[in-house]
Amino acid sequence: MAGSDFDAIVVGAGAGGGVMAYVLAARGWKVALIEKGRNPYPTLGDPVLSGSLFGNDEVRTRRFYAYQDPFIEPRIYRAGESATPLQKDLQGLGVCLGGGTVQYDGDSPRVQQTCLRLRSTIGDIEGADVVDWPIGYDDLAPYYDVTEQAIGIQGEAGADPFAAPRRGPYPMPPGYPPKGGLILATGARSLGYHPHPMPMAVNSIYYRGRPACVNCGFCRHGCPINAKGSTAVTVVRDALLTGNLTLFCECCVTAVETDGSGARATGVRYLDPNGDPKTVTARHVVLACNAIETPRLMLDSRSSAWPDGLGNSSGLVGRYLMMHLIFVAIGVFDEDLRTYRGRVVTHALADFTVPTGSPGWLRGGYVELGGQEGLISQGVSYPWMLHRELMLDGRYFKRLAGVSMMGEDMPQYANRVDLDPSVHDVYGRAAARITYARHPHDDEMIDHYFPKLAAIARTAGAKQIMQVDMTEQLGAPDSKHLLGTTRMGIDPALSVCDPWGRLHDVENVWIADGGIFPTSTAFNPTLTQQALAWRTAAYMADPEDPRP
Amino acid sequence: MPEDHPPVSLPGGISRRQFLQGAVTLVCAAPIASLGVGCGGSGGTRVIDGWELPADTTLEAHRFATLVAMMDALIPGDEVRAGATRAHAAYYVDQLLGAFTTDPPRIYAGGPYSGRHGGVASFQYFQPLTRVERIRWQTYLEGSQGIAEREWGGPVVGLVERYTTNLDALQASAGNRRFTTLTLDERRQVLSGFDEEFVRLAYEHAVEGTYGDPVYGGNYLSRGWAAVGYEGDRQPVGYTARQMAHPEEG
Repeated sequence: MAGSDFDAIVVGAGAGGGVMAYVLAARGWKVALIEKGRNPYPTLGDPVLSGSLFGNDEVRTRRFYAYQDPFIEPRIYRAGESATPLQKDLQGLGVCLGGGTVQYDGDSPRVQQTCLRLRSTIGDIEGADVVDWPIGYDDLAPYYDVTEQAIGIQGEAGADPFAAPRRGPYPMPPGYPPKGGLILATGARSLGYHPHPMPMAVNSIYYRGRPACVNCGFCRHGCPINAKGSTAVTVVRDALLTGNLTLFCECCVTAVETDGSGARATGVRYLDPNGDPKTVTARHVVLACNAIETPRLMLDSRSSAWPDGLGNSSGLVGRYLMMHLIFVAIGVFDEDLRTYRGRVVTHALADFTVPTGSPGWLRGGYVELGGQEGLISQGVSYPWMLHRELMLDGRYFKRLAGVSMMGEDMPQYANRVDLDPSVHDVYGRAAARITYARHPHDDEMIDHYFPKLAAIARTAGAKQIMQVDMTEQLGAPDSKHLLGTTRMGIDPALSVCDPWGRLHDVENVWIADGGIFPTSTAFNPTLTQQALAWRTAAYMADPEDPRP
Repeated sequence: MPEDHPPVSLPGGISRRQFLQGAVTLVCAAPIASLGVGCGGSGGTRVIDGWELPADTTLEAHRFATLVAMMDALIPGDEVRAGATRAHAAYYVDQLLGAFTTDPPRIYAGGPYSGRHGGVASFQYFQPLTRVERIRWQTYLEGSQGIAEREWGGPVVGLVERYTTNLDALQASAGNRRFTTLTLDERRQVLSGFDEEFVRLAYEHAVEGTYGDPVYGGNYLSRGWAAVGYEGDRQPVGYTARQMAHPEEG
């Protein structure tokens, strides 16, 4: 380590950071994994993994247990540079070992080839900086293969006719579907679409020391039995068992430090669990905090060498924020579906991801069939005056099922993350400020596809359709698919990272989260983030032979 | 943990055991206003305006009575289905307000199992808070009080003060009558014109207290879950393939 404490520091133990820590540790690197949140897995490093501190308990989630907490880490939203800033509870992800993979649904599709060739496929879009990725699907496919094995993905190879090619079956077959997903899939099929089992990071069988899912329906609250493949209980645990990983939990990184020239990082400053400032050094620094928190940290890491933020000679750090357009057609059925039984989503279709060549709406995104809302979160979403009718009388509760699209939003220069000049968090750091507005294509996409989503629900038997646009409902965009703010590319003037995820400006700082996506793709991004992280780690360990 | 709840006190000195032994029809027939919240700690109970209340609440007794009447108006039950009152939602709020009277504070239940469906019951072992979580929850509940580490975003009025202030204002809004003596319709009418932000906050707490896990002090005897036909927590048994395929079977 040549005078450094570690070979690598990985900041953030979520989707990308967990994979990164594992791949490097497995290759003999001494790795420090620094996580702001707590460790809810008391037996994570033990020979036998058993249980967690999560439970089937909505209240603790409402109290932001192991989660982004807007009370102590506020975020500011603006619809434009001159718009009124609003303090909102937005873009929340898990804050604990495992990060967003602890509370996510586990949806783990791969992207299609066209996702990485969007400019070549659809050409220029006015007002958006649509680009091709600097890598193709064939570059990524081997890393998908190993990531699916390490995380444990269930699915049915060949079931999606639009899917990119894959070399073999999924590590495990699809689990049992609940009725809500089944009837929506039947409705979609009768309309000529191609529903298939959603690839998911949830065990359908005993897998690598973790039990099969028992369908408790609390995926979004952290899996009590570790049947869901969060990075904590998969790759972080595997990394711990190598003996090469050191965990720093409840430690908030406040800056990346560089040498005098700014060309190399030397380590990071952080606040330890007692709130005391500390420094740790390493040969490499990996930022994997998510596409809001990573640029926030980079912009906060100002120095004489980097007065506008670490690695920001392009001025693009924080730019091109994307988060998918997530909109839902909720069907109200006249029978009990109880979609809270089982996984959140069990079926999907990719029919709307095919570019149409039409001038208005270009294409949509992957569609999830099913959906669920917890009892409390559903109750608080209604006006109190209607509680009896909608909850006690059961008009909605137990009778809703949704068809939701992960629409590919356009990369726009104006959509960005920067530092709020006046609002600070509990650590004394400047709050992240989100500036985001839709592109005209985004609105056209919603107008075009909402009726199609509604038709699926109606064909499945829904008697009433509620069209929900989360952005309109909340008065601000909200999503957990955080992408694009440190985009990768070949030209240092037009991108922040090179095609391996390394900063153009700082040779030993790497990004391993959704920030490196040049375009948002039409699919849930987690598995792709993980595969990219694996690829970056393999390259770090051996640039001459970065095979997985 | 129903058995770990404070003893239920009902009008007329009916014991909790007598109640549990089959007095469901009595409960169903009893007017809500006279049933009261019926939960309290070891300090016994007292009756205020016909509401039987625990004597050892964090909130002063008359404020707690107002809170019970407010929760009752936000989520009223009926003859069969429990609303916020019979689910002890007010007690849930009171437990939150006084969370730091125990160590660890009653903020995050333990895991992974409640014990209702097998496994080792662990919810009742509340988790120790991290340093930042402790700052967060003390600030949120007690207010910043001029303490530097609590004022990262400026002064904060704590939840305890927000409740006491607003409950007093709610009482005042009832004019020369007591809020607790108003009919259900009258209380809902008052709330529809009251501070919208506070009513929203209280409603969210009413929902949490009615449908949240009983370990937090509400959803007494899982009555909130029963009211909407919800099974509650399911670990470690979960649901079978048949239970997912046939939700109509309950």
